[in-house]
Amino acid sequence: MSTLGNFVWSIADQLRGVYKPHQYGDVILPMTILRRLDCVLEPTRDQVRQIAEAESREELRDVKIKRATGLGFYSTSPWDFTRLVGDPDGLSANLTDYIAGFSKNIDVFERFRFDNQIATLSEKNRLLIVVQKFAEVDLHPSSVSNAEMGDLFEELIRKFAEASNETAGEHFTPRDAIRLMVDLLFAGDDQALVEKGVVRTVYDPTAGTGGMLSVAEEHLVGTPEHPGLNPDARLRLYGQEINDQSYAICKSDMIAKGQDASNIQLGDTLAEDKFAGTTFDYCLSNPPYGVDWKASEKAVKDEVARAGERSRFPGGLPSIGDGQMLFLQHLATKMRPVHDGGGRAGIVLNGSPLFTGAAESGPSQIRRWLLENDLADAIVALPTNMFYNTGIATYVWILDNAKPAERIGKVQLIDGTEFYSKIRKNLGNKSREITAADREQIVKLYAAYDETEHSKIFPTDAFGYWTITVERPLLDEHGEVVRDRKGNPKPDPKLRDTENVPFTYAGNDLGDDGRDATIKAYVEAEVLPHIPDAWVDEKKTKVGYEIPFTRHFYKYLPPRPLDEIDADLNQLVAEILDLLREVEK
Amino acid sequence: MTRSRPDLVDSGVPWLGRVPAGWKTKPLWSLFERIKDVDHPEERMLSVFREFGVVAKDSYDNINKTAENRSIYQLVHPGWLVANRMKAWQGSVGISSLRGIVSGHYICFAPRHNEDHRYLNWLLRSTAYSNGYAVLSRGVRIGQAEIDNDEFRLMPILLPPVEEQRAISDYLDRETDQIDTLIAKQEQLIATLRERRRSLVRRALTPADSWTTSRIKHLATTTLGKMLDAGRAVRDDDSLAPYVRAADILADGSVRLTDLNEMPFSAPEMSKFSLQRGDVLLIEGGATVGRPGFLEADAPGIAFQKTVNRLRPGADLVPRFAYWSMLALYESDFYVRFYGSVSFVHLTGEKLREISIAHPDVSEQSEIAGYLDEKTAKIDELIAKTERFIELSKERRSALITAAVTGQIDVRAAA
Repeated sequence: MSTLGNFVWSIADQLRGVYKPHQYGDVILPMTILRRLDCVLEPTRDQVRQIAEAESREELRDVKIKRATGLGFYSTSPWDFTRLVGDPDGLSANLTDYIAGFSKNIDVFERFRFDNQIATLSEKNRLLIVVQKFAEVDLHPSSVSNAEMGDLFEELIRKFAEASNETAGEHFTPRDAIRLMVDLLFAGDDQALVEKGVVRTVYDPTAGTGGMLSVAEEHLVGTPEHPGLNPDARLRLYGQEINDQSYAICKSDMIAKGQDASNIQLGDTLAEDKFAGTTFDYCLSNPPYGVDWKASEKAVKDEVARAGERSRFPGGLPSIGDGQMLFLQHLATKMRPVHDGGGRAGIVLNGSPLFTGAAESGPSQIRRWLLENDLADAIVALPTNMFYNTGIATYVWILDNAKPAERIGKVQLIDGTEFYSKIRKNLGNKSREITAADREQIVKLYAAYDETEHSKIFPTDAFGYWTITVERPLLDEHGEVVRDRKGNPKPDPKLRDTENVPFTYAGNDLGDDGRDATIKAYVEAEVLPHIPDAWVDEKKTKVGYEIPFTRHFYKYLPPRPLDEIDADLNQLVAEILDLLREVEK
Repeated sequence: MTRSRPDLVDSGVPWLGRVPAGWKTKPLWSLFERIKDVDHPEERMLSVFREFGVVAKDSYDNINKTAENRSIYQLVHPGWLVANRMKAWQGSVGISSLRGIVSGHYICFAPRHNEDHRYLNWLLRSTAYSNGYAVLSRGVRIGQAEIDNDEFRLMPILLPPVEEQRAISDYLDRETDQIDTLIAKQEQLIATLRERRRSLVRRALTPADSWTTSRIKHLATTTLGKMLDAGRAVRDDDSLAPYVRAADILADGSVRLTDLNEMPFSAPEMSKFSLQRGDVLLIEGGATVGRPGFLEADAPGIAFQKTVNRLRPGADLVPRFAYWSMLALYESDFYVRFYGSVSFVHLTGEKLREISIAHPDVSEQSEIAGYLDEKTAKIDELIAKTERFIELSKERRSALITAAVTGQIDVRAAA
């Protein structure tokens, strides 16, 4: 933890007893944001007050203040931290007044339910010392850049998350995983992105506290101290978040960065897309894994019923128990359309979306839609033990609806599981990080687009298969085949079986169009030699898609040759005999 | 001496490699039929073990308890294939030679073939096939991959002629029995060497008439490490430092000084909890209470935590002699016997200071310590070599099985 982070979190000492550790964030986070806003507004405070006194009409006041200050928010309250500390007796009422004086787009303190905390702190005689402590923290932009402020938030939020023991995969994505996804997302556009004055939009439908949006901005624009790809670029940040507190944090952070406050919306993305009709150059997400979508079910199904293939879920719906693949499709449909230049998306998922579901199940059909429409560009396996509160395998999917020529019709799989460094002290389940050097290696593999030990390229058809139904004849008590009225053998339901035939079996490169010939070849080679009386019921054949990621990178370690082992054993025996004599001396 | 065959061809399966030209492969489904036969609670309980295959459950210690409701268990018969889907890739597969019931979570197959059961057991449990299961297994959690029956049923079963299957089984039964006997002998050697080592230490520390008995508080200073308080807010003058805890005091008597956990320490605490050459660190509690570790060199910038008790010898106690004395106490189960009235034994600073040890004068201490260092080093080296021998023997066993069932060895001549 940084010195600044340590200091801010140490203010939690004052909360001991009044709050439990997992509640410290309820005070520290809004106070940190309030202090940041206080510092950001300090240079323009007097000017704003003058404008506010002169102009009573709210809309005009907003416009005038914005023009005068260049900021998207303001406060008309006479209070600030210096004045608050100067009037201890009126602190509770004055602090409440200070918060109420912020412009309408600063709704974050309501979402933090900060009024309640002020009352509690005041009642327990903690309010003055907390405010005094925060008044000592220098969060002026000249001392703490936007990126540094983002890092500070991340540290505090991580502390908060650790104490809260959040659900696996929820709440928070570590910066190193985000940075990798952002690098991969922008990797295909490096030329276009360095044009002077370029404008791009980036969107996160599960924005959380805004970490992904911040890293994207950091990467492209950067700061005066750490310039990004293109300091002249303009990146507009959009996000939606279901959780009040996370929303409050995200919105505050975006405001501090000078972004448009209305671009961060509160609400359940699956149930209601607050940016319906809007598409984006880049989309990012780390949705919850293995979390059901019952609460959104009606709204999702209504949308599908109403809009069908033009809904956000054109591939279909996954099982109710895991909503990841809804977010996957949502991102795919929020990329800027091809005719407008196209878009890219990055999403972090666990292993389930790669392989769950049999042919024609919801998940398989979703994979089918993505692959048949050639939207999947690359899938990168991340090192394990990357996340704060889960130890599962995770993957970054990169989607692209306007692939470069050589990448059309293909998917690149990258095994990034070995590109990590150990961190000195574990953070929950996180014991590894992807350093800048590790990231560079993975991005190089992506950009080089070659077949190597860690990078493999497949035509989209390589992931398709047919599930065929193999029938055997029903036999009567005499061992004779039972036939129907047309003389055809009747199938025995007890002997019915299924087989999965890969699209690419026997070199088929026609995809589903090669169905009849390929299935025939498979059955003749793999089934009939063992059960000559079998046949395939073609009406029951189903199309499925799966991405068996692990299989393609499994490293088979064959046993050493026996002669080699024998030589080692003989050597050891001689050494053991010598040592035995030594021991007996 | 094993004889290689000249007639090998590519099997077409990466993890199978090259196999004899005349051998066939058939998919598992064509040899076995999956059956789920439940409601036999009175039958004998079986299980699939990674090391042994299908065995009677009462034959081995097993931390897995039998389910209360045995009706969900599946009946299998001799020749049946049983697989634990979640552990197939680790070797939990086998052909049963017994009749009994197995877990409802296993997948069970009745034989529909005329092949040799013993051969199939060797084959399906070989390293090659474990690799095959691993390639086809999948899962969301690390180390919890599961092979789906859709994939398992397609496993290519390598089939030499039946008489050759029997020859392979006979060969492997004989060869593995020899290897297992050899391994058992080596394990016996190690146990004897460890006994010799303990006896050596005990004898060297048996006091002569000229020795003195003193309490540790008169020979050394003791310090219990810092209380772990990761959740406490950091004070201004604290800085993060790595610290040694019980887990860093290793069984071989050394102290691990890398990859340590960290927590905040103030400057005075860094002095108080310093580690320097000659310190003896003792595990403060638990199953290995009192086990010592010795610091070979100063460790500036590293502290220790309260699961560790530091003994710093004074002028009348030679550090290495102190280490051996504390090891002798530990190896004699002194702590458990002396303080064992409560369930969890703690070696507090107070208790440590009151312990008496016998010691000669300083020069003789050095002599004894040097003697023990030299003698135990020889025993330790021999134990390490023997452990390596066992490791290689097990590797040979696995490689031999795979070589035999994939036809690398011509057992027709070896039989």
